[in-house]
Amino acid sequence: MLDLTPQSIRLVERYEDGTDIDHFTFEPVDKSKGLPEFADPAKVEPGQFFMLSIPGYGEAAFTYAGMPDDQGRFIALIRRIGSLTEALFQMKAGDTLGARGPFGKGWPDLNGNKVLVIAGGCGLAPVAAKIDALIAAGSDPVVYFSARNEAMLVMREERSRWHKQCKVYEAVDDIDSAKGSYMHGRKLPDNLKQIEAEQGKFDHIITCGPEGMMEAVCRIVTEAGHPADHLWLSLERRMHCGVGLCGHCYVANHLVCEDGPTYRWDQLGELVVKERAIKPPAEQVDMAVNAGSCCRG
Amino acid sequence: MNVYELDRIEHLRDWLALSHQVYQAVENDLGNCNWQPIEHGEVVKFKPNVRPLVSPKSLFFSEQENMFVFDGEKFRETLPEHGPRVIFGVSACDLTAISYQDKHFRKDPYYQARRQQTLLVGIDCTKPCDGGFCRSVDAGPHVKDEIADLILTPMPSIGGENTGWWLICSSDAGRAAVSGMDLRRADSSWSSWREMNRRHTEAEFKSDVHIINGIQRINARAVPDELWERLAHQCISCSGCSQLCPTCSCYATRDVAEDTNMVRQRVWDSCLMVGFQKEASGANPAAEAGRRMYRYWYHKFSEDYVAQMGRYGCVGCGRCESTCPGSVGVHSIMEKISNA
Ligand SMILES: Cc1cc2nc3c(=O)[nH]c(=O)nc-3n(C[C@H](O)[C@H](O)[C@H](O)COP(=O)(O)OP(=O)(O)OC[C@H]3O[C@@H](n4cnc5c(N)ncnc54)[C@H](O)[C@@H]3O)c2cc1C
Ligand code: SF4
Ligand code: SF4
Ligand code: FES
Repeated sequence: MLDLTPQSIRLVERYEDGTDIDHFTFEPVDKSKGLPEFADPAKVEPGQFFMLSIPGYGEAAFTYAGMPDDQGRFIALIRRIGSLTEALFQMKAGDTLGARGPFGKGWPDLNGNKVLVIAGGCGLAPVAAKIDALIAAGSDPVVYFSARNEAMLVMREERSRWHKQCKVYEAVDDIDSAKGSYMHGRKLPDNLKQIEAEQGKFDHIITCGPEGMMEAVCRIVTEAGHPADHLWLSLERRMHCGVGLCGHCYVANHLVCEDGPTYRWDQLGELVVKERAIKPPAEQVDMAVNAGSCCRG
Repeated sequence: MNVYELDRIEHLRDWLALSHQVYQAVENDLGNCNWQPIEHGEVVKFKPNVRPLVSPKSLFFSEQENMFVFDGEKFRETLPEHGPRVIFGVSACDLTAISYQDKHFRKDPYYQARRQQTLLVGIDCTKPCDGGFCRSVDAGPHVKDEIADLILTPMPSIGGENTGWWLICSSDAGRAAVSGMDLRRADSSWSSWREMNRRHTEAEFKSDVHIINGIQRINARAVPDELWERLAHQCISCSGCSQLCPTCSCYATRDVAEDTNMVRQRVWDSCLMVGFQKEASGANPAAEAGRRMYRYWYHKFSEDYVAQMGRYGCVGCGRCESTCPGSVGVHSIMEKISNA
């Protein structure tokens, strides 16, 4: 039987990590019977999510931006966007919330492969734990991360660590006002071409960001010859349960909470045919416009 | 299979009411039937061949229920509590819907807390109900053995007068529930009479050509988006169809304050509502009304779901047609898309 009742967690720490974006660390309140599954490093996989309850405000899905450690501490990168997240942004270290999980299908095991990770905006969160896992497995991933502007380059601490561990490309759309040196975010096709010229072909590509961006990425790389069955992305749908009961997260006959949120591009394509869940890719690849229209961007 | 003879249906109901809370569809002053508890000894006539306004869905999947409370420190699950129950006199379409929901909610603790305490007494229909097309979607008019614990089927009538009932014990729980009751064993003629009755009833159903064509067109994805969009304009988003549909299972959650505690509730929802898939960012994959209308009927008639659930999501009860204030109930819709 499923358990739809959360367990208490404590907010351990939070700090600003982008405009209206905070980096949260949580831990279970009661560890006396061992770590609950949602905080157990042996039970959670990169790409999975948990349901976070803020009593009085409801429950919403958040991705693990870092695997739980052996103390059961886990990380989420959260954007202030509505009433639930607003309430969360009023909370301080020591406050009690609820969590359950882990839910959904994580990213596939790509250890030993040459992997390119392409993330846009808050879409870095669902791939962050995978980047860590690939680094730990010695698979040397290449990361391309793009954001609207410099202030939206989220996960500072993780990125400064990755810079020492693997190749990281960074891009911003608003290049003129940026202080650092970056690739031009709006020139996605050119950037991907340059990365391939420098790094060679990739076995697998993982992407996460606003849907418009992911579609653009998938179209560009498949047109350039990357096989669709070696291309992965993560979808976002409204979720009220996370376990295949409430019906909200449907795409055709799939429930994204259970059958996703990670999908292989060609398999998602089959679903899209059943129900145009993703609109045909926009002609113009404008990261700024697309990023503004989705939770994770 | 144990089969018995029964003179009066009320006799069985009264026996079951000794040890169970019994629910039966009871007609009110307006002529509408609703599920109500009947006590042991209560004199309420049982009316066969009625399709209650609402299905027994809410007796398992509650329209609104508490899931857990939060006291400021801990979360505590609040499962529904009650003793053994009987839902008495359920027709084949509604039983088929219950078995469909049993699958969907197989791991749902709230649904199962109610379901596992419930005995289902089914009844064969002997004439098609208004707007019903159970026959076309393999959900009636007769009750299949595996979807009820006890099944009532009428003995042949003499001069239009009912002469009694056969009581079929189709599960162990059903057999146990009537053990101790003073019943005569039926002779073997019951099954051929029942079969004949079924054929007679099935022959009385109106033409279902539009249903069959509509199902084909949905599965061939031959219905243009523009038509769904046009049809959707007639939907006023009242969600009446989802409320009455015995197989609709979607819900939303909300938090309510109770004294110093917080209670999480879940309430019925409908995929036809514009905000159903709306994300916090404002993005809405189902923003177009036509997409939502297609969604509803796709869930009811797509072979994609047959592969997952073992049958269509529609059991042919016809309730969506009779409740829709626009004209997008099942017959109207299937008529329009099969002629498109
Ligand atoms: C798999 C997955 C992973 C995600 N990971 C992250 C992540 O890592 N970081 C991140 O910032 N976001 C993430 N999100 C998005 C996140 O769940 C939403 O941004 C979240 O709902 C926050 O918005 P809110 O609840 O404050 O908004 P609100 O709109 O205020 O929502 C409050 C509550 O009401 C519900 N609700 C939302 N819209 C409506 C409506 N129209 N009518 C009624 N109720 C509504 C919500 O589900 C929630 O329970 C993820 C989403 C999914 C599906
Ligand atoms: S779709 Fe209509 S006819 Fe079919 S089961 Fe639901 S309410 Fe009944
Ligand atoms: S998705 Fe729509 S048709 Fe399906 S169960 Fe939910 S409300 Fe009913
Ligand atoms: S979130 Fe409830 S079914 Fe997917």
